[in-house]
Amino acid sequence: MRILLVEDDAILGAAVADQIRSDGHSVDHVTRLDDAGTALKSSPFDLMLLDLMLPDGRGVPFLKDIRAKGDVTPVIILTALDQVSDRIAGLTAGADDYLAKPFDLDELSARIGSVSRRYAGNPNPLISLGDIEVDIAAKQITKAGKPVVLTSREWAIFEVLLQRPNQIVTKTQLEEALYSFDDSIGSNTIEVHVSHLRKKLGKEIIVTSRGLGYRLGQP
Amino acid sequence: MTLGGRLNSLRIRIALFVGLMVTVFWLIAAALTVSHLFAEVSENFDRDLRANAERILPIVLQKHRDDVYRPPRDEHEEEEHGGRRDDDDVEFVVTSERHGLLMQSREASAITFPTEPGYHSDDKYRYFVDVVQRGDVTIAVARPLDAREQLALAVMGALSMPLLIVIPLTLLGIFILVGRGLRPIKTLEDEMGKRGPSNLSPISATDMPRELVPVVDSGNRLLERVAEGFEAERSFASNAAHEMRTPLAGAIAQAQRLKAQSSDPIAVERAGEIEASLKRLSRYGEKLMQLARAEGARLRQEEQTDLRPVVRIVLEDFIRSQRNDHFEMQLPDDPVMSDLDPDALGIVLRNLVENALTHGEAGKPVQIELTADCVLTVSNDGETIPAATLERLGQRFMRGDGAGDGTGLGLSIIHIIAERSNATFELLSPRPDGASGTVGWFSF
Repeated sequence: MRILLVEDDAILGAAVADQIRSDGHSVDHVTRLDDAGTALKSSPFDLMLLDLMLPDGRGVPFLKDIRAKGDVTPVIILTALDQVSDRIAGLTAGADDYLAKPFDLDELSARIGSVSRRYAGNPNPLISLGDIEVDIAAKQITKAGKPVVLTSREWAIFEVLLQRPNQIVTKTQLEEALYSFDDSIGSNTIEVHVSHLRKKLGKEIIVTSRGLGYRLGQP
Repeated sequence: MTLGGRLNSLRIRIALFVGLMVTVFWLIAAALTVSHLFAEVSENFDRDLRANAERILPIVLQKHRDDVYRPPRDEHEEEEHGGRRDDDDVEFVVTSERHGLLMQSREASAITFPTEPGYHSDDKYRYFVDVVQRGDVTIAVARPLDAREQLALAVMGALSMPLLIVIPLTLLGIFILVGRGLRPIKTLEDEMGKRGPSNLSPISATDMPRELVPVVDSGNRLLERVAEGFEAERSFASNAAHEMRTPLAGAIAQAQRLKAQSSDPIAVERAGEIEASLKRLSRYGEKLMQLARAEGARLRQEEQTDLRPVVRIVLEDFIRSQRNDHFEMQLPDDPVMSDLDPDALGIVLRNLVENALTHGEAGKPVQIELTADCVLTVSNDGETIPAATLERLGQRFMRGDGAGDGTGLGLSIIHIIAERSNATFELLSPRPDGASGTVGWFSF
């Protein structure tokens, strides 16, 4: 997943970004609402983590504004304002979840997972694909009862496909998921990871639509 | 109430002053009327006296002429004349330079008549003296002053009679009407009485008499300043919370990352300790913010809101962050409308649930119920809290047994919120309906 983190506190922002990356997602960290607005316009994000009190304004009006403009990016508010009225304000402005500071990073990971699963239309973290069982929340995969270990890059790509079960996902979209891994994405990076995934999970797991991209198959 | 105290009433003062003024003016008017009337009456009486003289004189003169040619009449006839004259109180004496006393009324000898022509008075009679027949005949008539005095008294009585009735009625009328006129003051008083920490809405100056508008205005300015003060305190609490929470969140998150990334078991342990300390600090910070809020913020709103979402949101939060705990929530189907600040109820509920989780029996659900008549109850199974401990728990920084990482502030925050928002809070153990456990009962 590609996640936009809007948090002006450098230390907290760094730790959250670190956690998100270790979960296998890519992250863009900005500290101002202006930059967040620009980022949302320039690239698609699977989720936004939004602080409410930023140097150049408040998060709630910003959220209302982007929702009014038709932006449907899932949003989790991360804030120090923990009163019920603040939560109601945030949720009615269009947030999908709300996490008060200080929070556990593991809880944040769990909420990111649950919000994105809900958006994908399958709130159940357990997905069955033939003899493959995937627990998205726990990031565990078993094939015929035996655990399969994926690298975080492989997981990032696999997760994007899992979240769009019946759609073709373009190569660019998959590259977006690897965006934060800091290594330059070569022309055949996606092909390499897809080939590794096929090796671990079976040939049929990813179907190539020539010239268009990839989609999840039915092994 | 002392007289001074009574005079402090605007109503009584106005009634007294106006009443006094009306009495004085009435008396002046009456005095003027009486003196004017008296002058008129005197004039009439004088005219009458003169008419008497003019009527008597020809009779006397005629009689005198007759007497010269006729032997004197008997006493009887004379008495008849005198008797008739007696009827209208007029005494007279007619004298002649040449012939001496011509005639006098019966009582006239007892009266000393003046001799100068014209009107005269002494303290008993009014006199009229006239000289006719080229200075030969002098007639003097006298009438007692009693009649005039009686008339004057009658007139004065007639004039003062209404005064006795009208003045008390006027006073009563003024008292009642001033009371009506001052009713806006009572309205203003009632309106002011409704204001307090829970209601700082401005008082409407429409329908207020012009004189009260400045009072209402300055009252409203005061309310505004108080509201601003409350607002400042509220935003201070939330700003301070923000200022504290973000760096704490950063430190906790960094400690967690350190724990996750380090392969050195000692470093992991240390990071865990740092994390635990920071979490404890953050719990204290949160409670202090709640306390500041409970003591400073406005706990009643101007509008009524449905408080069911508060229960849902707070519980959802608990359910998500503490996955293993069970909650049983009961909410009515219809909105639970109240002017209690939703955030205050949120704080109460959070503290009650935290306590129930800390002290309740593990694995047993915590029951949360909000009823349509604005009662929030949170109950848990577990050991009964001794009565002495229950009493102690309301005090600040006081912990129940086994509440090792509690701050000891939760219950006192609820107590403060209850006190400042006119709500009732009770902690009962054991539960009235069950054998064990504790129930927090917050009625607002």
